[in-house]
Amino acid sequence: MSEATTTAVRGTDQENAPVFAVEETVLGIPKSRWPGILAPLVTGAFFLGFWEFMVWLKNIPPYLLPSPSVIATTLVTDWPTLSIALGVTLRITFAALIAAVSVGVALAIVFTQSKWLERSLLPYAVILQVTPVVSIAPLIIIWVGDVNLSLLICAWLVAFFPILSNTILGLNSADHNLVALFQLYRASRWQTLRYLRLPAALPYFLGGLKISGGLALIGAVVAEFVAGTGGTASGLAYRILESGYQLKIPRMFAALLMISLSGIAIFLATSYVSHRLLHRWHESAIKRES
Amino acid sequence: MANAGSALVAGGPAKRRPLVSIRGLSKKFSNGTLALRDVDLDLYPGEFVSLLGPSGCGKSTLLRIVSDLSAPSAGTVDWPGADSADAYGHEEHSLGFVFQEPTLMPWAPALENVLLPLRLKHMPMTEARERAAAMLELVGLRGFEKSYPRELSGGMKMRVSIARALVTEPKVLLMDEPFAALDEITRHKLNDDLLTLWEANRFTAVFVTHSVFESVYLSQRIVVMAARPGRVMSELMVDAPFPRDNLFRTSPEYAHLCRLGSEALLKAINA
Repeated sequence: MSEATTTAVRGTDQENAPVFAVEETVLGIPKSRWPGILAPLVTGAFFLGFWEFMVWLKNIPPYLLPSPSVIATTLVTDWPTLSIALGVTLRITFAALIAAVSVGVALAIVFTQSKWLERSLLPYAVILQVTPVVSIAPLIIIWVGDVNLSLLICAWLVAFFPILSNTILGLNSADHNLVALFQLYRASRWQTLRYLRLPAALPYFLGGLKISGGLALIGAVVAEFVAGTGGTASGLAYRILESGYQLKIPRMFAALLMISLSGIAIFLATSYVSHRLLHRWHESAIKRES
Repeated sequence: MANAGSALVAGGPAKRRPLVSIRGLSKKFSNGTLALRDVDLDLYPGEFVSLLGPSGCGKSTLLRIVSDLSAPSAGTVDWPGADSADAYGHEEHSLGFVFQEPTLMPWAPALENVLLPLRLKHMPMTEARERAAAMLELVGLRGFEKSYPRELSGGMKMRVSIARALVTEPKVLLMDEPFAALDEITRHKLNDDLLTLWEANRFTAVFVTHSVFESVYLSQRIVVMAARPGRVMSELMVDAPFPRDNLFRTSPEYAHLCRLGSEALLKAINA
């Protein structure tokens, strides 16, 4: 700012401003990120090659251990059935995640506004969290009747606690001097929430979201296993059970692969959202020049 | 201490109506610590006062009580010169506060940080934006409106913090060791710029510090405090004219006043 000579004061401390790493990008991705992408890919390729080779070498039958190429072929040939099942599972997962976010954040806000509500209700939220979902899923399925709704409730039960507890922590972590500043300017409760507590809670909430994204999928799959044993489900877990009964092991592997890939996709998506929202300001998203 | 008496004055400046009048103020924390005992202090419109003392002398506590962030155990803080109460019957004191740390919202760019007080007072956004931008320019940060706090140096962050405190045009600016964490060169620059802002706007500045040199350079009046319990020991008038600059910083007069200040501080520490 050499032209800023008209200002009232004489010079700033600009030369001491931190320097951030500027990186070259390859295919739109920073150079330093590539090893993190390539290393697991290469490892995976080696592992798959070894697997394929051993199955061929030992002549292992597909109903014991299908080779990667057989699984890939099955994935393509069974895609019509499997993709429908994937759709069912993902729909439950996302509905559960959305419900977990809305209920978790809403409860966290209510709890931080009223200590008495937190004292009265938080222990029950903990009980819900520590009770294994497999053990209450049958009850929920019986009570609710509608399978999809009961699966949604199960997945939600598993997913909502990390969001709740992380958001509570975040809402209470606002810098105490900033809280004092808001007090000084006589900010209302709503203003303090809107302009201070919610933004301060954002990194914590996003940490919870990353965990809950995976948990919602796990919750949906586990609940479906419970429902599937009763023969009343149509998601991926049910396809796995069914393939097991029919000894269609390659299809079982294909369904398993789809669940894993969905989990990875959810993790990448939540990480991306987190990075987009935090990269301008939060320490976790900063790379300094050393 | 032979020639100290000439500059050590028991009372305040000539009889004027004080803006803030502190009487018999005591603060006892719940753990039994007596942070302040029986403090009397008047703050006059437009003056620059430093509170000088060792750590634990209750200077920060005093600021927090004056700004209503903390309640006194005994005594009163009156604003005889202040305007009447607001619509809700609360007395609205026109205050700015600069903390030891810049205390900026890390998720908001500099301009958003500066306009926060205006936003909280429901000022229309266009006007608030203009005033905040003008204030940022005054503290020398034109062109940094969109910078996030983490992109700024320690001194620049402090400038944003000062801009935020001054954007409401307060009558009183309370500063709690604002430059303690900065290096000497940056601190000198900020001291100069703070004086420039003060001379232009003539708010009442209350500056907490444990640096004799800083307090002599900045203030018209130095209130020396002692610790355990926190109390006012003495006052030192600094009559050197403004504007003050490096010439003053290297003058024999400054050195003399610093010696007086050091002696008063030493006396307070050993009291």
